Amino acid sequence: MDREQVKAEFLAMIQPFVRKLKADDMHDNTLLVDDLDVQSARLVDIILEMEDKFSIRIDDEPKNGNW
Amino acid sequence: MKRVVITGLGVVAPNGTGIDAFRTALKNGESGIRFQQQLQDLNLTCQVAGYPTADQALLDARFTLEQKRNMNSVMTYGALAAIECWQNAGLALDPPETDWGTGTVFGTGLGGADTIGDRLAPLTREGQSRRMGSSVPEQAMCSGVSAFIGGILGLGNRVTTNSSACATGTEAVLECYRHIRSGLAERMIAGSSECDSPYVVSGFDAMRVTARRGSDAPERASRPLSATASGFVPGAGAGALMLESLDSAQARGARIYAEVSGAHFNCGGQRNGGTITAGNPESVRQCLRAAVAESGLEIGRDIGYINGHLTATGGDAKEVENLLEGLCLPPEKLPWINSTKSMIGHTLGAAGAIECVATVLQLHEGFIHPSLNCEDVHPRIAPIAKSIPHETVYTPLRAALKTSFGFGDVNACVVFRSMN
Repeated sequence: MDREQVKAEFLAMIQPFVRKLKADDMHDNTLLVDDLDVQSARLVDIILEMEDKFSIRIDDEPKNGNW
Repeated sequence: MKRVVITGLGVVAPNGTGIDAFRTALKNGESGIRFQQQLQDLNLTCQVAGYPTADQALLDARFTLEQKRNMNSVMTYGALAAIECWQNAGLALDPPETDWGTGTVFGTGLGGADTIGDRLAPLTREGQSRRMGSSVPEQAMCSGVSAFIGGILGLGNRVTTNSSACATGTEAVLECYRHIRSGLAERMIAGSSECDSPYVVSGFDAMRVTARRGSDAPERASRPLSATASGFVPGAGAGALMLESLDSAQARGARIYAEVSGAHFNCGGQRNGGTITAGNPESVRQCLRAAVAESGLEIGRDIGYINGHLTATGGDAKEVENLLEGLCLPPEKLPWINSTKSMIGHTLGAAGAIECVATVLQLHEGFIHPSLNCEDVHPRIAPIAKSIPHETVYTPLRAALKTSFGFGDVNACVVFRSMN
């Protein structure tokens, strides 16, 4: 799966949670909570879906303190 | 003290989702009780129940993708009823700002039992809590339903969940009535909801109080007032009533279904024959008298209809006796009395609200629905047999009394008066 395919899967995954802007309008530096108004509580659900979809494990703490 | 009226109704009932469908089912005497394969698979004694249906198109129209992912049945039923009630009251959905003058008391008996049983408990026991996702607390908590409704409708006044077992919904009406009467809000959505999980049924099944017969004829299984009642049929759903100050209703030209003219709530202290499951007769009678006294109306002359609690257990006969004693009536003077539970089963925490909706509809439209499955009236109830309709009765009504009695020896009574 290349970067664009992963991005497409990710955008589809977060679509139910996005309350501001459309997922298509995002760029690589778009913040889920600050820019897309995703409820911070739902980040857990996005992480779980990503782990299942991509067979990965994501640390529970964000790297730079930003989601 | 402000006068309080009903300006909107919403319902998700086993025999009708939505006011129009519910009204038709009440008038036609349609039961919503069906055989439930899941209950048989789980080896429960009672294998029939009254569970509402809500088609996917309705859910898609009412809720966002995010909401649909994170709601359980108590939240779904409650929100559908509350949204219908809101629109039925002539209010626009999705207000952009917080509505400080409107709140809700939206109760439940067992809350998110399905979430607890299906996700919280098993994942915790398996050491897999990390896999639960984000919404388990908001689904499991008792106030989940009121919080969900508050967010959908932008409510900014009191937003809370009450819980008084089978008296929950009627108590919610009382709480909202008193809140508005005291000038603390202009509008309050009074309602209650109960989930359709087998975890709700199994506990009562273990108590041996659920219907032991009826799998072969589910529509005949719920038999309040009958000599052959074998226990209550469990049910689920939600009801919602918009209570509003008369001033506010008149100012915006709202349709008024009825006025809440009296209400009372008390407890028997589990003394004098009262227990966790049985009512103290004196407290029941006091509650009846206090609600009627506050209304300023008289049984018979004004109050021509009683929507009973009447669950199809051994308590039915005692309830009728308490009505006669409490209201000081000879049997032949008891007004019309029916049990909505004969059509929908006992929806537990949702019962009071769904049955208040039924009461207001009948009062507003001048009909009394049949009480199903009691052609063989219990011998102790026989003295009031003429007050029990077996077919729909069409008659103007000036006022109606709703009674609900719950585990914990708690009692709730509300008097509704027609504004016609």
